[in-house]
Amino acid sequence: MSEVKVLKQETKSVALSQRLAAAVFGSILGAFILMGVGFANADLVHNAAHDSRHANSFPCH
Amino acid sequence: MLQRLLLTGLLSGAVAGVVLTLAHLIMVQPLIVKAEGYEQQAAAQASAAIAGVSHAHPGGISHAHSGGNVPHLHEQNFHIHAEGTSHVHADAQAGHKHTAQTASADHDHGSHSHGENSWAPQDGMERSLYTLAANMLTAIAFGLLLAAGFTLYGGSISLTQGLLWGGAGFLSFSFLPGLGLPAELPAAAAGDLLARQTWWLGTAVASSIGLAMIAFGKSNIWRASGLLLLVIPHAIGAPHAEAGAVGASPPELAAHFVMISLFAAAFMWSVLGAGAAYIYGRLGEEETSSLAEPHAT
Repeated sequence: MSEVKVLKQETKSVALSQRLAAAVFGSILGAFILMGVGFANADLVHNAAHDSRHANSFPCH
Repeated sequence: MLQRLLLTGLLSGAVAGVVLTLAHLIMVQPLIVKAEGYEQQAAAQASAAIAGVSHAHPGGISHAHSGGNVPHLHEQNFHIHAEGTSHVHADAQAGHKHTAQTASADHDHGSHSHGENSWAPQDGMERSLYTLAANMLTAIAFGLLLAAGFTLYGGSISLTQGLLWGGAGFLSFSFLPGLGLPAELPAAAAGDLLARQTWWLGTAVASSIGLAMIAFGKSNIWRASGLLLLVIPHAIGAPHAEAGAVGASPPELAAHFVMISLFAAAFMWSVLGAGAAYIYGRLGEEETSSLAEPHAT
């Protein structure tokens, strides 16, 4: 009975750390793309994404 | 698990980006184009006002010189400015006169660009395609953040829950930052760019954490702290343009743009939230069935 409980807790905690790692990776990737499209100051990037930035209310210019 | 997260973000973001672009082209873009008309008008007026000497070339190009010695060779549709830039007006004709045949080095180029370091997509199809690409990337970025939230949450996400997650995204990344920094038309009067970007991002991060604390907090202390996080950026206050600064477009157009862009954002977040929940659910079924199969045999 207690063994089962421990086993369950172990799989759960492994799952949590896995979930956390995946979530952190996903958020960093998302934030990286967001910074590139919405916030990078390079002229070329700005002009290409210009209308999209205005429409998405990212501060522009 | 990571694959499920990435696929959810990519697919839901791609769909939401396409949908957002449709709304953009129909509703948002006409306002941007109008604002750019006012922007060019204002620039032309400004240069005429500064001008000691101003003149217009046929074909709508106009510029002003404020009085000095700059050689002009309009006969060959070519001229050099004292600071070293030179350009050709392809459609300019030979015959026009300056009231004083002198111009100074510092003159205003507001109404025409020299094309150096300023590539921009051609109006029309090219511009729309870049907007589509930028919108898809933006939506994919938001989709990845949503999917990361789903993954942290751990449980399955119904369509209704997906819509709620999307609503939280809309609040965090559009509505709440918009309270301080509403969407700007081109040539709107605004404060320092870096300060605005910092405040916007800070507000988005604080709002998403705050909303998560309110939604998932186990005690009132958590929920109250979440609420505090929502309020703090607005207590600090967004960086604004100097008092009295006015943009080029009429305020009516700017107000319309704020509403339209908020609507487009709400639409995009609904599609993204529901779409991400659906895709995340489907990928979850596949994950569990492929895990279950070896046990069954």
